[in-house]
Formats: sequence, C-alpha cells, structure tokens
Amino acid sequence: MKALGYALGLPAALVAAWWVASDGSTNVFLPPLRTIVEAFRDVWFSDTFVRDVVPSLWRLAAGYAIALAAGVVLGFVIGRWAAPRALTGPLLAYFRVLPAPVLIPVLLVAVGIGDTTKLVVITVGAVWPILLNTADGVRAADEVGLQCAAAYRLPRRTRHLLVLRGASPQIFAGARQALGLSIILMVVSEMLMSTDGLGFTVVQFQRSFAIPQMWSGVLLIGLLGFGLAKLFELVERRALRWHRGHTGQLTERP
Amino acid sequence: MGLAGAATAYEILARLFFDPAHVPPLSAVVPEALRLLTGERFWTATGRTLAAVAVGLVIALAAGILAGFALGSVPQVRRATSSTLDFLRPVPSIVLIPVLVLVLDVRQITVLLVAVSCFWIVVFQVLYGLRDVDRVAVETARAFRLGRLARIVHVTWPTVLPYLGTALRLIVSVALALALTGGLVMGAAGLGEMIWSSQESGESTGMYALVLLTGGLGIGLDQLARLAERRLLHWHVATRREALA
Amino acid sequence: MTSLLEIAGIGKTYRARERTVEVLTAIDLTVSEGEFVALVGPSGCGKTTLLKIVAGLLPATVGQVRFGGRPVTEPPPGLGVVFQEYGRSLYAWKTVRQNVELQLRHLDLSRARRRELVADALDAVGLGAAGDAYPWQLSGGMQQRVAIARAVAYRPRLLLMDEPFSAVDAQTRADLEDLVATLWKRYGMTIVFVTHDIDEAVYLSQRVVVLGAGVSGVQADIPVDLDADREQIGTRSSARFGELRTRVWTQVRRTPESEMV
Repeated sequence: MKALGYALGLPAALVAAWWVASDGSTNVFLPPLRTIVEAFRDVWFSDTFVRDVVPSLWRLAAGYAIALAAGVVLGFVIGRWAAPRALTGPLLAYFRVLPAPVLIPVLLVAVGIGDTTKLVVITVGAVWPILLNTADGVRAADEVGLQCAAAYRLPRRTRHLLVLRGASPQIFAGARQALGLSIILMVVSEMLMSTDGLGFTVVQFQRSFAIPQMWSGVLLIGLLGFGLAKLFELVERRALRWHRGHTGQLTERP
Repeated sequence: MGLAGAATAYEILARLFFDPAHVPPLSAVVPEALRLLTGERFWTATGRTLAAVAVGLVIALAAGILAGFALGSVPQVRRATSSTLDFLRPVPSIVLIPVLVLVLDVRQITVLLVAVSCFWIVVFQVLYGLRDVDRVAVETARAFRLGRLARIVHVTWPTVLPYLGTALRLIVSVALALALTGGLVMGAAGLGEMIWSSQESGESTGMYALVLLTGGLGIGLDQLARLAERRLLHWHVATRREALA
Repeated sequence: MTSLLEIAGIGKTYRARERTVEVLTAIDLTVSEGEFVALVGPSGCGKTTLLKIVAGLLPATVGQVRFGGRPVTEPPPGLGVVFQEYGRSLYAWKTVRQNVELQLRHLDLSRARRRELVADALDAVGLGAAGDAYPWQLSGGMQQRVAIARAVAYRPRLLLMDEPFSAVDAQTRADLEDLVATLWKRYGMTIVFVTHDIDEAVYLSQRVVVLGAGVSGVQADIPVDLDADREQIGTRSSARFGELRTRVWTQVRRTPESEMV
C-alpha cells in the first residue's frame, strides 16, 4: 500500500498540478489539460486511429521484428567465427558510431519514398545495437561451458543454442536500446516523409495551429514510448530471471 | 582488408544494380568528400553542429549531475520520484519538437533536444552510481566519522565517477544524433540541414559524401569521449591511491 | 586389466609471436580400465593442458592419445568431465535436472531410461530433492555435485576431473572427495583426477603420477597401496599415508622453479 503510494503519489500530484494550473489558461500554446484530454478523445478514438496510428504501429512492429531477427542472426555469425568478424570489423566500427537519423535521407534517395522506406529506416537504424550486442555476447560465451558441451559431444545445433542463450542478457540490452531507437526513427521518418502516421499527424496539427490536438498527439507518442518500454521490461524480467539470480541480483528465492 | 573488401563490394553493387543518382559509387563519393573537406561550407556546418552538441552536453551534464545527486541522496525523494522518472525516460525527446517549435527558434530547440535526451542518461547513471555507494559508504564513512561534505568528496563522488564516464561515452553519440535530427527535421543550420538540403536538391553524391564524413565525425567524437573517460578514471584511481597512502 | 587410455609421446608447444612456450614434453602414460589415477605437479606444469588434450578439446603438437584403442582427435564418446569452475560449467538458465539431462538428449535412449538415469544420478550425489532448483540457488559444493551428477548420468567409461574441489571450503571438500570415491566404486568408472593437493591425490587414487615443470616426461609414477576402504581421519593419519605423502612431496619438490606450497 505504501509502495503504491510512493509509485502513484508524484505522478498524480503532477497531473493534478498541470490540470489546475492550466485550467484557466488563455495561452494558445498551453491549452488547459481538460481541453487536451477532450481533444485526445476526439482525435484518437476515431478513424484517425485506424488511419494514422495503425500504420505507424505496423511499420514499427515489422521494422523492429526484422531488425531483431537480422541482428541476432548476423550478430551470432560475427560473434562466433573469426573470419566474418575480421571481414566486417571496420564496417561495424563505422556503423556503431554513425548516427541513425542520417540514414533517413540516404534511404530516401536509395529506396525512394513510400511505406517500405519507413520500414527500412526503422530496420536499418535499429539493427545495429542488436547486432553489435549479440556479437559481443556470443563472443564472450563462457569457454568452460563450451568445453563441457564439446566434451559431452552435444550436437552442433544444441551448442549454438547454448551460446545464444548465454548471450541473451546482451541481446536483450541491445534490443531495449533498439526499441527506443525504433520509436524515434518511426516518428522522425513520418515527420519527414509521410502522408500518414503519428509523426505526420502531429506535425500537421502543429502547422494548422490545432494546438490541443497536437498536444494530444505528443501525449500519445509519449504514452506509446512508455507502454512499449514497460512491455519490454516485463518480457525481459521473465526471460532473464536466471541471469539476475546468477549474478546475485535476485534477493527472493522461489 | 575488411574495409577494402566492403568498399569493393559496395562499389560493385552500386555500379551493377543502382542508378548513380540513387546509390552513387564510392569512386564518386570519396572525391566529393575530399572536395567538401577543403571547402568552407562543410566546416561551418560542422562547427554549428558541434556547437549544439557541446552546449547541449554541458547543460545535460550540469543539470543531470545536480538532479541525480538531489534525487539520489535522499531515499524518500528517490522512492517518490522513481515511478515518474521511469515514466518520463522512455518518452522520446523528439515529441517535443512540435511543441517547442511554437515558442523557440530551431537552434535553441536543437540544443534543448540534445540536452533533454542526454540529461536522462546522466541522471540515471548518477542514480546507479549512488546506489552502488550506499552499501560501502554507510558502513565505512560513518565508522570513520566523516562529515557530510567529506563523505561526498571522498566516498560518493569517486564511486559515481566511473558511472559518469560511462554516461559520457553514451551521451556523445546521442548528442550527435539529435543535433543532426534537429537539422533534418527542422532545418536547424548545421550538418543535418546540409544533408537534407542536398537530398532535396538531388545532389545524391554530395549527400553520400556528407554522410560518410558524418560517420567520421562520429568516430572522432567517440574516440574523444573514450579518451576523456580514461582521463577521468585515471584521476579517479590516482586519488584513491593517494587516499589510501 | 586392459588399458583404456594410452598417452604416447605427447608434447604441446604454444607459439606466441617470436616466443615459443613448451608446456608439455614427451608424456607417456597408460591408464587401465577401472583405475583411479591422480595427476599432480606444480602449477604451470601443464596438468590441465594434458587433461584437455586427453579429452580431445585441444590438439597436441606431437604424440598421440588413444582412448579404447582409437586415436583421439575430438571428444570421444564415453567421456565425462568435471571442471574446477562449477559456476561456469553449468548452464545458469537451466534447472539442475535440465543440466543433468542435456547431455543425454542426443544419446539413443528412451524417455523413461533418460529420466531414470537423471533421477539415479541426482540421488547418487545427494541432490534428489533439488532437481527443480537453478544452479545459482545452490552453494558452491552443491553446484559441483550437479556437475558430478551430470557426469554420472552420462555413464562415462572415463571421467576426467580437473581440480574439481579447489574452489570449495575444507569441510565440503572432504565430503566431495568421499562422494567421488564412492561413485568410482559404485559405477566402475575409470577416473583421471588432476589436483595440486598431494594429500587429496594420495587419499583418493590408486596411483599418483607426478608431472614436473620444465622437465620432459612423467617425473614419477607412484602406486598407492592403501586399503580400498578409506576414511578421512583414519586413512590420513596412518603411517603408510604419511610415507606415500612424503614420497610424492619429494618428487614434486625436485622439480625446478617449484611454486608448490
């Protein structure tokens, strides 16, 4: 009960403060929270949701899923064998530091404008943290564990799976980073080159001075970022329970 | 060798499968990049981008360290704010663009974007660092009857420092990415804007050259951050040894 | 008794830049079926390297290892291993039972037989009730018991143990030593046991083989003629134990640059 109070206390107070402080606001740029909430209901609980939010989410999900699959597979190959690692080393070092947003104009020129481009932007931007972390994790696979697997003649497939599972803490770290990046790339790519989607709609509202509607869009993107991060955390906590136990971060014993 | 292989592979793929207007071959991009390096325009743009990065980083570090210590030092405050921080952190800072465009100019917004994104990283690193202190500090510093200030100087700060080193390495690349985003999305003067305008005017070779150079800039900043981190930690180890002697 | 393991003229040289480091030179050793051989020597004498070569995990520079008559080029079937680093040799995301069962999955066994082997092995090491726990929920000694159970369930002809008890406390160590002695008799395995602890080597084995640092070949091969039934206090305080211990000790000390304490 006390923990719940701590968790909800400040957020509730902040929302209440915003509500009260903005209630009589006549500033066009800072509309009352009441108005924003009304706009939120009007805008997003309508076919705008289907027209703008669904395409955004679809691109995000597809782009992220492809990045995840490609990143894990490529990262595994690069981390496991010396030859592909030596071959791709300098290239990876370059992409490790290349800021993802500059890929947008490049892909715009290379692939052209369209649904695919936004998807490709998300994939190409989000794949690096996953790939690099997977490669690091696979490369750091515990030698003792691998030698045991070899001595007991475990089949190649089983051994690969063991390595991958052992690298899962790093894979999750990369995937978490990639999720945040995907959302940013989704919004930015829609702001820059779209006819639908959340980013596009918010910019449209802003350009047409529909300020409460714009605020409601900002709120929705914020909620989306928060919600997806929480969902990810939930999956991660379940999947990596063993790792917290192994590294002594788990206090309760089942 | 890997680099040469990648360059050759790109060259062949670009020449075989793509229109030079879409994917120009490296043999055209590299000379263009060299030409840019000798011109004034590129350096002016780079200077502007780096200025936004630098100002944003300074604000983020100062505000982040202060906020981190303020929130992390008092257990009640930390507990009360943790859910709010958890909520605010994953909110992508670029959602601020449409809001801020109404009240600030694009240069200020770019700096603010850099500062806000990096701020979160700094705050959380400081909080992680402070959490690391707790166990050790409570027992030793109290046993030695150190005052509050002495405790911060000798125990807390040296423990947090490595976490700040990590933060530094992380925020430099984030800062560059957001400074460029400011240019791409809002046309804030700098490299991002230069890349976007060459894309819009169809100078794809120039744009690829700029992207190539931007990667180089990223490598440079990354190396700089690593160097700074090493210095910071070297100092940290040195003072510790002094304290022991 | 027939020989199960033949090590003939094994040598291992590491090349690092211009320097070459010779870790093993001309090792000859034969181990019979059912034997318990302890391998001792000062640190850096290549005990662990030899064990990894025998296991087929590391290629030898010269010489040949034959296991059951066949030359070893990769880990042969019928081989079990227990390493010192119990925390790293078990898979932290698998339960104790899954860890023990994993190596049996690719063998041609029925499900029922597999379960039986796992249950029997866990009982044998005294972990019958801990099958659903994760390794990290157990103490170090218990984790090493899991590694032993994994080997036992596999029913190896040869069990290689590399300083298995170096990282546990003295009391646990004594318990684990007696456990290994019991399992050896019960399952009739052949065991090659690497240790730097001379008392442990004498207490457990039928034969102590001393490797010297920087010397070629096996430095000494000392048969241990103690009773088959050994017991921590009685055996260790017997006169014969003391004599054997001194003999091994002298051999180990004879090696130059000894780092043995």
